[in-house]
Amino acid sequence: MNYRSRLLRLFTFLGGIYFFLEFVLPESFSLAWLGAPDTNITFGKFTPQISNGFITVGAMAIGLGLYNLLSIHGAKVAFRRKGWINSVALLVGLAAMMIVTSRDWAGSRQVASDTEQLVMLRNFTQAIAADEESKAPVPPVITRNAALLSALEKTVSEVRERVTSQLSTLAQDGLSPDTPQHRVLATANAELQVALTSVAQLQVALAADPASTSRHVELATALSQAAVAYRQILSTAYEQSLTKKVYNFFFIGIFSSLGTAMFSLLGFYIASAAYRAFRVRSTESALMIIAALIVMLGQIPFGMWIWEGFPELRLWILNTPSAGARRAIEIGAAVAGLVMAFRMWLSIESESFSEPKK
Amino acid sequence: MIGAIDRRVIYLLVLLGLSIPLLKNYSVRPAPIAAAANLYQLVEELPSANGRVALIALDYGPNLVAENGSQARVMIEHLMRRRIPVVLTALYAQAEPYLEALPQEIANRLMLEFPDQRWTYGTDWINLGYRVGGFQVLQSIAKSDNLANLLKKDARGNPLTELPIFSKVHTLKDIMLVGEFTGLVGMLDIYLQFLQTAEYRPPIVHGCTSITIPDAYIFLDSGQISGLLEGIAGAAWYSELLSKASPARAIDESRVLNTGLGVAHLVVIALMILGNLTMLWNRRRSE
Repeated sequence: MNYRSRLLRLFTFLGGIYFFLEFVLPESFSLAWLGAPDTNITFGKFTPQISNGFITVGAMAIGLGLYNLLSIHGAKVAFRRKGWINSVALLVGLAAMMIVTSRDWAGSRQVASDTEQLVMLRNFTQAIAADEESKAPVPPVITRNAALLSALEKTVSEVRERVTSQLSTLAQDGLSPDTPQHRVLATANAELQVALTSVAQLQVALAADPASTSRHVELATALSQAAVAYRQILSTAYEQSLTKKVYNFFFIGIFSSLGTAMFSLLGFYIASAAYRAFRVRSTESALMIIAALIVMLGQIPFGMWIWEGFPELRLWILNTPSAGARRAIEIGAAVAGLVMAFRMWLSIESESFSEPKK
Repeated sequence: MIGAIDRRVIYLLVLLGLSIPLLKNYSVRPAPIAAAANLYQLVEELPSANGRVALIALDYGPNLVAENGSQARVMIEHLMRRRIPVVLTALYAQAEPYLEALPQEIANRLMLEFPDQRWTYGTDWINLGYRVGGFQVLQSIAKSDNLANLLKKDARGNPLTELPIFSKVHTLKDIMLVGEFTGLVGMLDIYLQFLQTAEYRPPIVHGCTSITIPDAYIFLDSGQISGLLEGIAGAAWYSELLSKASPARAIDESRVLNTGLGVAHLVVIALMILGNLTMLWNRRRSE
């Protein structure tokens, strides 16, 4: 056995025992029974960090998957191998979805980052007041207030401009006043204007008394309200944008519809199979057919038209014989799973840990 | 001897049975489903306006959206009607676009029904997006003493600390209900296993596909899940209960789908009977 195999076996064993103990042990326990009454053990202390590590390793699969797709299908297209046209379709679809999704991701991040300006100003306002109260070693309050006022002036005018431009674009695009989106925008805009008016009044008061922090709590609240309303306007406007519409067309219009259509084909096969396979050839098959008929009639609206007791009878079948049988199968599968888990934990299952065959 | 029906005729019958109610937007009263009624009651009794949220996991892709999507739609609608804040997430990558589109669609419908009210992102719902890591994500949520710090941002990139919905959400105890909508094998199990602490386990409710109903009943019977929506039929009955409580509510897709599916089931039942009659007839003739 080479050192790699040993290392893999060791890590598998330690990982298995760690997660087993982390699951069964209490969050914190004392070692009084070992004669150390003051020692408390918190076993799962580093589980979030370990979990993040696993998540990071798992995320690498995206890169691996992309590389595999590109190399296999790229080679198929490049050398015009059999079925290369399907590979072209796959690669074009992949590229299109990646571009559209990236644009959508960037668009929604832009909304968040635009709102962040107001949030930062609020945080700065709160920090000035808190530092003044705690007499923290920071630049004088007059200097910080001057910086705050200058940033407020710039940001508030940018926010107003951006909102006006977004609303006029939406009006040009024909967003009807009857739509819920229009109502959300109108209400959010009204809230934003109230908050910005309040900010403007507080700006004037602050400019008149630049050494004061008495209005900072009020200013921070107004900025918070402005941020919430501004985020609402930008998000609602983004939902109506071309980027979002293209994304929805690609995913909901194409991908989702095709996936649903593929799966729905099963319905046709089931009907055909029911006709061919559901035959009363023995007592067991008769029982199965009767149960199937009752469950179907108990679930569909038309069963009630025949007999009102079908839903109750269906419930009894699912709750009693079916659940009992299913539970037995699950327990059997769980025991088999446990055996498999032990084999994997002790590295006696996978051949990848073994010596290469000669 | 009577020959077998050509499979293309069977396909045509199923196609007609399914599509006519859908095209005509025709729906009939669904069959009462006890588990759906219990779930409705559970949501009805949840306290609202206490800052706690409902966590809804949409772990389905396009292949399961017909069933799981309809279930999630009616349950989220009920939560939104009751003004219970909804936090959406998924451990399944293909669910990601539904997390964004579904609550928005429900909010728009509600705002059409109630023109003087608003349902907005950040206050009534948020989208945490697809989370990589499976059970480890749930384990981290259960152990966290500051969820906003753990999850950091929503799917749109907003810091969770800045969203009003998260202002009172700190630990697992602030999640008063978990809804898991999936037809994927093993997905519900990890929620049941890992989304709990020694002191608290939120009630977990489940929306399953028709094919996984027998599996789900084990958990319902044992009390590990507190409510169940069974396929389209469960969603349709839930929708019926919602309509009964709000008569102005428009008929949603679950009831129309359920009617179409009901007709298709009748076709299947007719084919089963016909198949057996043909077999008996042929057996007698050959004797």
